[in-house]
Amino acid sequence: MENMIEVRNVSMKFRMSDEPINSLKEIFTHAVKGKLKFNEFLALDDVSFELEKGKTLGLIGKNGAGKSTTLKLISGILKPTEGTIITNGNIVPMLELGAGFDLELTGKENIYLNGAILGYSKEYLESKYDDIIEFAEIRDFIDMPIRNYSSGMMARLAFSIASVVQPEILIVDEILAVGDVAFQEKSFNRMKELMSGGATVLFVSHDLEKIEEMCDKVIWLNRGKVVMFGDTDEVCKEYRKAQGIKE
Amino acid sequence: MSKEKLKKIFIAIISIYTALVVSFYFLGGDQIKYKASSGNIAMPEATAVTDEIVAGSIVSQDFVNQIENIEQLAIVFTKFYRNASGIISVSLYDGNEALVRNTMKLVDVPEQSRIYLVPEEPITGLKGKKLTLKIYTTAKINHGAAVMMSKDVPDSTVNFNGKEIEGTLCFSITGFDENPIGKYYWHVVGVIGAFLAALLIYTYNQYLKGRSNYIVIAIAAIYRYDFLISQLVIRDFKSKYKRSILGVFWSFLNPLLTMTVQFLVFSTFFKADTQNYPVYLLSGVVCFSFFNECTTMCLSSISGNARLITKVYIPKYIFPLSRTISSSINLGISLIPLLLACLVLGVHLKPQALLFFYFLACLIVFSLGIGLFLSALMVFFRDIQFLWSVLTQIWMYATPIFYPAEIIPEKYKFIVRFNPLYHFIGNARTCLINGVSPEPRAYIFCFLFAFISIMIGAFTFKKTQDKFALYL
Repeated sequence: MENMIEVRNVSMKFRMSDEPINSLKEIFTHAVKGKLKFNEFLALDDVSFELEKGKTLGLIGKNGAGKSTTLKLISGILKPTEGTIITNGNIVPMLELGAGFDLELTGKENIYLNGAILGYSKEYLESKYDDIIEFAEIRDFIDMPIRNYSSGMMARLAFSIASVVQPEILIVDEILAVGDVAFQEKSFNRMKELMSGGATVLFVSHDLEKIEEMCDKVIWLNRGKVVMFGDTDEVCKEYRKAQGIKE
Repeated sequence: MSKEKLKKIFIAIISIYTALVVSFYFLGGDQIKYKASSGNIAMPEATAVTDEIVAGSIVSQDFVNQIENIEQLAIVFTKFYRNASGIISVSLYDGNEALVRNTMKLVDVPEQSRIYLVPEEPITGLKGKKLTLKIYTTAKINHGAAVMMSKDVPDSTVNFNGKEIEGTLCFSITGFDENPIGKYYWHVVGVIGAFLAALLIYTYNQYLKGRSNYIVIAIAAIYRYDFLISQLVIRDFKSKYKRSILGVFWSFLNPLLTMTVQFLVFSTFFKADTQNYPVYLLSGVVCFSFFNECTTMCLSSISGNARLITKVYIPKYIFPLSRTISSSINLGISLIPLLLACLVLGVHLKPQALLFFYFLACLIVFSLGIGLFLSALMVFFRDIQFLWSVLTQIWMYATPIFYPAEIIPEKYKFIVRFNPLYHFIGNARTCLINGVSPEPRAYIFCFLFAFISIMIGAFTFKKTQDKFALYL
């Protein structure tokens, strides 16, 4: 079967200074003091995996294990220091919902702006416009600037825009928990729909039960290294053992 | 991208090029065929003065003319700040034949300011000949004037009543020579056109063979992201004017108000020296405001969209580009008050005024180049935002916006010559106010300034853009 994502020997180095330096003055004073040193921080160390079409891959690990970095690398936001990443197909990253929302604009204007940022065409947005409003349950407020929206309404709108596509590769970073309980369930179902619609999915969550429910394969990362990569049951079992969580 | 679409775009490019060079030939007119003469003599800085010229005295100076077609002479008198009376006459002689003469009442002679001698037709065929400038008057003693002189010019003497004095009179002579570019205009544009066509045909063939090509990639990117760019531009506009009462009307009002303020402040100083000062001022204000707004908006375009850039993949150049497009639309809106001012203040708009847009286009590309450079720099050095606001201030004062370029002393002129904004704004004004095309050299200079800027900007941006996400 065709591989949709191939990650080969990818390493990602961040240069971290002890203090954030981003002005001329700071660079100058630090250079004078002889303190202009950068610590290299290896966020990912020689990570390789591949994912077949239509499969769902879960990423687990502690905070700082490199999960988000992996997602950002695959969605093209970051470039790897070493190694190659090959993706086949259009990617919709749901790393943060509502990125690019403009508070001064109305809901309707934001649908078009945010849609354009996510790479949708004008025609596509026009055809899906009603679906988006319907799903977000904000029809009465659509011509209102979103600075007047509640945070729940904004999150619902953002999720509706992001999830209206049929992406070939979907990248999800723990965003299912938006809105009230009813909407959470609705959005979870929408996610499952997307996944069963043939999309290849990368999914990050701390909720092992959700991972077990949704993923075909799991990769376990710790401090930038792959601890384990394999079938969901196997990896989750080992992970629970290591974490000392009882089944 | 489909084969037909690409073909259509390429044909469009060739037709636009053809239309532009043909219309330029007609709009450019004489300015393509002629250029400012290399034999022009500039006005020297006054360091001395002749004795008072009264009835009976004759002042003359010989010089060798190197101009093919003489258009204008200027000379500077002083009346020692007294009430002078009588008649003064300035003439240019070729041997015994007077070529041009200006006779006027001394009362009307301005104090230490230029008097012009303009022949009805340019004087031709005197290149390499010795000409004589002669001045005489009917004024009585203590009611006469004197000519300002310069002692700095070597090897020249002034004849005062038969007596030789070291130095030169403060006069200038300007004209034009035949321009080699004008002679070969069709050859040059033909060669460029053929080269362009060959490049596009080559690109098209490469595309048919399925090879990747920068030109095709660039065109595909424009089509792919046009919706996003238009959305970002709309956002810039809507959020800029959202809660203001006058809204987009401000784009219209702003340059007018700035011009009015500067006009009230500076008009007493510079009005006399400048043809149609309010339009001169407004065109400068409109162009510089664009430059200022565009570069400042570009500066923060990457750092200000940090949340987006670290969360969604978008080609990063989209941000400075969309800001430049919104500023350009703003510029377009502020051209309306400029046009109105031209009509109200009696500027005779000729077809040549259309050439104005060439220089505006160069200005836009130039600003985009600077904007790309600044937006990339801003990610790594936040100080640049403060530095830049100081730099634009200095740049504004170094550019003839509210003062005429002529008042800059000769020894500082080189600064202006290297100032791209001076060229963009100055040439744009020539087209708009004087209704003539600048000489062809000006087009090439402006193109080069814009080209170098966009190259440096794009190169810096491309080199650093992969690191943006790490520093934001």
